[in-house]
Amino acid sequence: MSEKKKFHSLTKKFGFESKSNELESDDESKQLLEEDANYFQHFIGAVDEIGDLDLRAKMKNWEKARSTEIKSTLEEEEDSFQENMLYREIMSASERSKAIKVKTPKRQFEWKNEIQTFTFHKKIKEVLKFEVEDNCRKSVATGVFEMNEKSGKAELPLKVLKNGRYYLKIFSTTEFLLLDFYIKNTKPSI
Amino acid sequence: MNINFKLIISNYTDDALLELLKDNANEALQHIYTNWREGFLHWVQNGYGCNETEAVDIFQESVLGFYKSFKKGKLEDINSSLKTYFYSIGKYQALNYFNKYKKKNSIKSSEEMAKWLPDEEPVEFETEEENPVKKFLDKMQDPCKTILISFYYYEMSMANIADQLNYKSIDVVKAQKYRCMQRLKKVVQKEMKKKA
Repeated sequence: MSEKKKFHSLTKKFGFESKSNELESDDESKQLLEEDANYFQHFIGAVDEIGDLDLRAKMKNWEKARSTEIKSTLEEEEDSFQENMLYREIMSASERSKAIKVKTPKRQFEWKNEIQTFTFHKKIKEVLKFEVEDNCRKSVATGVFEMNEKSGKAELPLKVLKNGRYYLKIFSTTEFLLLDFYIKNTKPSI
Repeated sequence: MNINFKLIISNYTDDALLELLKDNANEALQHIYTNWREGFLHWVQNGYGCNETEAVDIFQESVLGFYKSFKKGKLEDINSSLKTYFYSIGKYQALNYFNKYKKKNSIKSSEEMAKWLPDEEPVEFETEEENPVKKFLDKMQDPCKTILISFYYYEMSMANIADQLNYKSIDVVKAQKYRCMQRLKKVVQKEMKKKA
């Protein structure tokens, strides 16, 4: 059998037909293989073995990357629960506010439902606005309390907020109060 | 300027996945790895009582077996879905794995497993042979090793390889590939002469 015929039968036998158009057009490389069917057989065997090792190494990297991704998602979430030290100072000072005194919920409450009800020690006559910031002082929501004498409701779009610690700034025209709360609704996506 | 728009698809149909395997095997395999991993691990851990590490090993061997089947053209003729076929490979790999490590009494009823099995022959796995070319191909520096493995193993097109390695043109890749092939053959023939 001529070397060329051996080449083609080996090509078929080892399924070396993919990209055959490119293989056919790559005359110089093809010639190197065609010249020696024995070498060709060893070549494609070697490619298979080395290729398998390469794919195994790739899969190990994908597995590693997956673990790193999970780890960094969990670490990120841990960071988002950290206390902001500046706001810790401001919270203590704002508790001395006379006009706005929140009865419930207490500090570090969990904001579970989109609408959260607050009760106040005194009747609030003014419009109460609020702003929510994450623990990096980035503003994530603003709104106005829906008031009813000594209670008020505030609404937050929980579905778009990540788990973490947040700071609720409550404003009247003259007073300011700062509270912290948590959102723990969603698990990190893995 | 070559601009690549990558369409992110979370679930390919079987036909689309086969096309992707032909066009960009690396991307297809990574997609399979990412999207089939969880379900497969859950299945093999439940069915074979293995831990996660063992399940990952079995999964990786199954991905390899699946790709070998693809290269041999076996995926074109199957009667089941690609995923079902993949699981049949997984079953073979799991049994292989536990026979190897002599784990007994850990396999659940075959009725549950049977629903995953297509009416296909298990994949044949070739025995290893001695190979003088393997030693030198493994030692080759990049870009030669990457070009040869990308072309002959992953069956990437010259255009894709040029893109991956930031070559200016397909002709540059072809020329480089030829030089690599020459170099490899020369080294192997020199070694064979020494041994003869």
